[in-house]
Amino acid sequence: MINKLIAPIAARLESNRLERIWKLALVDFKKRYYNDRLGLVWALLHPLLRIAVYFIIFKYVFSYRQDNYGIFLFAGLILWMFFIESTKGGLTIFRRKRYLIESIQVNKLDLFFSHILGVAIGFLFNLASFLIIMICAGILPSWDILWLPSLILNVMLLSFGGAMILAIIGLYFNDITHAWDIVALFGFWTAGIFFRVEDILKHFPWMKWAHPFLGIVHNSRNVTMYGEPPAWDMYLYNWIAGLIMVAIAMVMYYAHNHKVLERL
Amino acid sequence: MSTKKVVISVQEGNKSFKKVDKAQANIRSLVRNAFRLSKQTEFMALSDLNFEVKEGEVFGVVGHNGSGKSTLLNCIIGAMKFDKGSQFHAEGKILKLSLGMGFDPNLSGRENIYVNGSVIGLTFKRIGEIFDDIVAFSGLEKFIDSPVKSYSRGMRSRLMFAIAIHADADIFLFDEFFGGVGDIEFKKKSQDVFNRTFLNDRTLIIVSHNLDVIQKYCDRVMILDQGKQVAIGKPMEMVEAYKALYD
Repeated sequence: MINKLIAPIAARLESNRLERIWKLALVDFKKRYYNDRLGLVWALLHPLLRIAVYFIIFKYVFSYRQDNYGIFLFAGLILWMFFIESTKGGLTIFRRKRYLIESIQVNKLDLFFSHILGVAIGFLFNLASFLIIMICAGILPSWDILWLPSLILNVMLLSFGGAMILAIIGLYFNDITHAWDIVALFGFWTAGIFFRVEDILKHFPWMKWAHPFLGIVHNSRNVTMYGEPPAWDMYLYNWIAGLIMVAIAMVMYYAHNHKVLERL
Repeated sequence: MSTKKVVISVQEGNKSFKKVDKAQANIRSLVRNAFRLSKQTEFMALSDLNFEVKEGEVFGVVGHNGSGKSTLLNCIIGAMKFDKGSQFHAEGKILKLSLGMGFDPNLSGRENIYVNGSVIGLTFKRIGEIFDDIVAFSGLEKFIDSPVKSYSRGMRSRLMFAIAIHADADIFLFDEFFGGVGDIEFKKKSQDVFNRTFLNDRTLIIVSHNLDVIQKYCDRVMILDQGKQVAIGKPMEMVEAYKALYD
């Protein structure tokens, strides 16, 4: 169906670039579940099971008090998973797509666009489950949920920039894979996914400006489960952070993309 | 004297690589060698190349493994940059084709046709129109939905060739494009199509170890040896010179 939507746009632009990005994204997404018996079912099952594990640990082992804790977790975790999957994939993108870079000349920027889009397809499954579960739990979304697409777009910007920056650094330092694992782990536990963002900021107020995901997680809960508008200061800051990240990534990309083949 | 315009020009073309030991690609060695980065060894992959390719010309490049042939193609297509001081000019859309490599082994033949077709500039609509022709030409009707990793080298080559003949560009760079393309019947079929499709006033640069191919199709040939341009001339003379160089 999406092919049919893209075809006339591509024809108007007299370019098959959109189609190519879409095809590469689709292929990326499918490949993740290619050899699994349950196939695409894992796209739905994986986040649900993960949330179930965290829910049991925090609700029953640590007795963390928070209404609708499952939804609370879900609202933050799916956005974080989008970011982490994108950036970790970015680290290996040139190696995974070497067959296209080496043999047929492909625009390497398209590899990043398609990678983020591929992750976004998986994210849509998670988002659909989240909204269904939220409504089943009796939380009906307000008009403020209309801010959600802009939050997702913000995460896409951060993910795109992050993936590209890591991919370029990875050309020169293999160790970045291990270093990023540690940074991501720190980011995960401090992003306010498990705890109220307000509690984290009470102890570490500087985190508000150091960790863009605090704002994103906070605002994601605001616009979905609490029916409130985003916290504007964090919303604005996150967008600026996303745009700066993409700008840095583009500068790095144009300075180093011709080194990709040499370094692979 | 030919009045055709020059579409590729390389003057004083150099390409050097910094040789980095594997051990230096981690932070520990980087810190240890932080003040000794200048000790990185440099080697010249291409040295002082000077040549031009004219519109509609078929230009061959021969040389042993490691002579710089693929690096040259990568520089021409823009995947790598010539060193500073080199003068390089190219006009028109350039496409590099090599056989049997541009496939994702985990995807089916069908998926790879769409991915590769799209990368070489075809729209989905166009790929849909020629899909049956590609499959029929490659003779892979029964295997088109199997993963490419289950294909033999010959099957991959046939499929890639069948896709590549639909590519559209002003200049084609063929990197070992003629290596082992199927059985005798397929070779004849592919040769006919190649003659009709590519030898039709298109500009081609052919890199091949197959000297028969070089002699048959090229108007001029360049010999590369350890990144240096040994000679440029008529195919027959260059093939003889190339053979003599390594005798």
